[in-house]
Amino acid sequence: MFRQPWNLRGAELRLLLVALLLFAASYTLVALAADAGGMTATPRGIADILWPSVLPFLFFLAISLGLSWRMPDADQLLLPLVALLAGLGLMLTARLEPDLLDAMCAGRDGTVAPCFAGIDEKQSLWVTLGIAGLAIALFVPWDDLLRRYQRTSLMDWLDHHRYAWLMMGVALILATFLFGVDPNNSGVRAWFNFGLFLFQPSELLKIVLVIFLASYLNEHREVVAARYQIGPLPLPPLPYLAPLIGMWGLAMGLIIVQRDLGAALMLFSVFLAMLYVATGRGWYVIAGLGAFGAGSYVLYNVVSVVKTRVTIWLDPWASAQGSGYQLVQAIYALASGGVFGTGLGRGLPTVVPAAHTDFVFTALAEELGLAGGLGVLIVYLLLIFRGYHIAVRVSGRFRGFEQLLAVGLTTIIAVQTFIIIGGNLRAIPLTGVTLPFISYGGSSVLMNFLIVALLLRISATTPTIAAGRR
Amino acid sequence: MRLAFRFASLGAAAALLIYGFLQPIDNDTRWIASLWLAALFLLVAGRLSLPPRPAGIARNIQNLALLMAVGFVVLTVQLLHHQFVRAGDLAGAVFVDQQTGQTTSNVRKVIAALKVRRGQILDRSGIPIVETEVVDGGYAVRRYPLAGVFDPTVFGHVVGFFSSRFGQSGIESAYGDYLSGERDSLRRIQDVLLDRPRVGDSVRLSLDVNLQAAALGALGERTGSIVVLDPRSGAVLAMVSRPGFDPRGLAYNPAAPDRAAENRRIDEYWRAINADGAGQPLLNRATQGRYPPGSTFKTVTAVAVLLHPEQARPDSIDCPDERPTEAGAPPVVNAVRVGLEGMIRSLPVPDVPDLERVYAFSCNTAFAEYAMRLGPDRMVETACLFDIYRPQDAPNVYPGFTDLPALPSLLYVEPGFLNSRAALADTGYGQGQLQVTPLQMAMVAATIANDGMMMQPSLVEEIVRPDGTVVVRHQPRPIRRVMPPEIARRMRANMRAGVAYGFGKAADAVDGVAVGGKSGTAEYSCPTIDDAGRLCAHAWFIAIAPVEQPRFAVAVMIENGGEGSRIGAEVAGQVLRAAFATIGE
Repeated sequence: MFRQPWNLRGAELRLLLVALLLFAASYTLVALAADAGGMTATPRGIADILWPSVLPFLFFLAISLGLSWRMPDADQLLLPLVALLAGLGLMLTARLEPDLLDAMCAGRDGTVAPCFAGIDEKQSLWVTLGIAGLAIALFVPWDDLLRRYQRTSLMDWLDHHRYAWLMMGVALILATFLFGVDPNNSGVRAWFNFGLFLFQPSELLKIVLVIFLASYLNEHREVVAARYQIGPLPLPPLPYLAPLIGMWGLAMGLIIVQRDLGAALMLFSVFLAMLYVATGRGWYVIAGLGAFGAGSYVLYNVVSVVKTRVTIWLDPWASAQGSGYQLVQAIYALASGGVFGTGLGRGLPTVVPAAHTDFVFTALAEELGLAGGLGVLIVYLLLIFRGYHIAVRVSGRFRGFEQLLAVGLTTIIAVQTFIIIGGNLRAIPLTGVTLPFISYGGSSVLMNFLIVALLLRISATTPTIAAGRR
Repeated sequence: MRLAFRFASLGAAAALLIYGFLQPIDNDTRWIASLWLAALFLLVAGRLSLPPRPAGIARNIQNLALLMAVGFVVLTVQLLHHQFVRAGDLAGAVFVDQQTGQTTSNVRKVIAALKVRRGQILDRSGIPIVETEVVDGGYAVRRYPLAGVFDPTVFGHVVGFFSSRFGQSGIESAYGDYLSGERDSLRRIQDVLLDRPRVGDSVRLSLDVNLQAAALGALGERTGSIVVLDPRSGAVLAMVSRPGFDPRGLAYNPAAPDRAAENRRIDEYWRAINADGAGQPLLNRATQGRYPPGSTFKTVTAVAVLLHPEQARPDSIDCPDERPTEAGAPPVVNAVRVGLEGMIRSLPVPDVPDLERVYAFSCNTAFAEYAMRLGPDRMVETACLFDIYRPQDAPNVYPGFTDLPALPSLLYVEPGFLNSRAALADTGYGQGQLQVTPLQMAMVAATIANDGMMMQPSLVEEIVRPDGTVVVRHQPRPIRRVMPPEIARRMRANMRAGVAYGFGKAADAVDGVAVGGKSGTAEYSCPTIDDAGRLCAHAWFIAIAPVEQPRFAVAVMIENGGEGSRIGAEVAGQVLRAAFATIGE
């Protein structure tokens, strides 16, 4: 009945409802496991416990209904997948908070208080803000507004101001060089302290740089893909490879100045992926990897952080009580989880330092086991494939920017997920980035929701999907 | 061609992964290398199985997606490795830092182990020796209720210690999987599903707490060991080793107000009992201490003589003060240097020497002669019947007794030792290179007491689940028939003679009960700076009682205790008296 006038997004709505039920149940479980006896079995008591996780879900439902009205053709799988991951994140923060209360921090006024009190509510707030951002990005008629005042659509506007984005990225990096702080002694000065909250500029940087690269590569695609011939030697078009060298320099700079290996690795990988998609030249990727490898090797000998990380990766046991402690404990946590996990609230995930941020995946895999861990990997893979699917479906030779943007944004999620889970599992050296949507942390959640908003917008205007509308 | 490459790559990837899965976890750089190599092959296989597409962005995106998929396959395989294939090994892995000696282990296992309510260890009549008390936080603490009644170290070697840091020993270790309830996998699953604490099985020992305490009392502060067996079943009734340790010193109490202090207390005790001058209190001398048995070994030689009367001619023997063995070797002498034969010919009534008399008066020269008459093969054969091995046949642990770690006893140490007549003669009266545990000598006595049938010694009578069902009930198991009953009877008469009129009179301490026994004084060199050739002696005594139908077999070994006929016999007598007093029929 609603279908025709509303174009109700049935698949999305149903999937969201399933996710909602799943998390209402698991969140109750967490509340019971974490604080048995503290819950009163009245509707009010249950609502008290459930609201921080259920409220954001209700917003997800609202977004879905809003999309039915405004963008009925936008991809229907993205939102449920994101809801699933964000819900997992909420559930895990709620699960980990009581165990993290033992860690005490000295406040600015000298008082000692638990470092992580209230992270559950905070994460809930971040997710809600993320959804609000999603709503703003989706439902404010940006195209109309920009057409009226700038005579351009949103995507064209993003495309057009590429050097502004580049400047913004460079400014962000410079600002972190100058004002970056290291609030949790991780050795990485990658945060801004805004008093009320900490902001991780690399989270914004990655989106801004992807927009710039998508625009640059789209415009210069043919030239970059062509080759110069100097004698028998085929050479790449050197002037147009400035971004390649620039990105390389940027990555190395990030490592040297900020010790932020994770962000550097991620940005450089995303860049290589976009370069390859734009040009189809595998040799660029290999050359880029070679240059990154050479740079890393030099840094391995110069910057102690790189060396430590690689040494830990190769043999964490040798420094099990020192720098390898985190990884060794993570391996114990994973191994103790086994196939079905210890069950929510029954494990000891907080033995691993940073269990709610960098090592949230081991916390999940300890308590939900191989089954839960594989489930999460599958959700990420579905999300990533959906993103590439959206990119492939963008048609028409005049929309290369959107195509590359979708590829870049999806690759951010893919690479970031791979880097942190791979680091957790000791498949690659550990570098600290957040696990998209699941890790505790405001900037990460907000920016990831922004990525989803952009992907949804790109998918909404895909004519092939629109043609399939009934 | 494409298809062949595809399957070759897939096969290579699978082979690499299987190779990697089989690598030991402490060498897992190889695993990571094979994982990534397999990923490359997977990438090739994946690329070959994708349908060809025209060049363009769509194809590039497809390749990129393939790369990401392979990356996630790497993550999946690594997750599989950590959580399924090698999960057990990794979760239980303990790493020791070679430089600092610091160990790293899985805290989950430690905490889980601290919460397991291990079963009780009971004595033969059900008196708890070790039990578990549940303290704050659901932690379980090992308690030793008899520590206030008896010497707290008296059960240390048998029940062992239970420490979260230093492991376990004794019954706590040997029956750890019963005591912790791990053995019963069905109940473990039920416990997990129903969120019940794990409760272990109780182990009832054959030990008698009062006899054990009395044996320790008889040994006093001397270094040594006492074993009391029931010869009919092989049941260990008492097993004492000195110096001992107090298992309370290593029992961790997680509910202690100051955990650091608790750890320090345990560390200090551990250091103290492992210190150089402490005399190895963790060593269970009854089963792990090997000593020359001295003249108690004449019992084995005498059995060999009776098994081979034609060669050994038991009753045609003399006891000269010196017996030459071979050219260049000093002659065998007696402990009583001069005139032992005169004693033998006159006591208890004048008669010619025979096996009984030379055994009762412990004549070295006679047993040297017997050994030389028997030859190495027959000596070896009889010793092997008693599970006293040649070095080349000796297993690493003694398989006859499995309840506690036990070393095998050796007839000699250097291969080919018995080929020299002097060595054969020395072995015949219990010197040579013999290395025998007190348990083994108790078994020699018990075999004679049990009409020649050697029974497997055992410490555990039954294992009972928390719900009262019996999981294991010990059935006496014979090892082998060592000698026919008539020879055993004759040996009992010989042993009775040793106590009735021979050198073991001090053991005759039980009113109305005929005790049989054999003393031993095992000389060993204990050079000092002043006297390089100084000799010390371990005092031994093996005893059986009552001789007609023995119920107890005892072995006493006191390190550097001097003459076995004095202190050894005395202690054995006290132990037997306590045994008759505490254990009724």
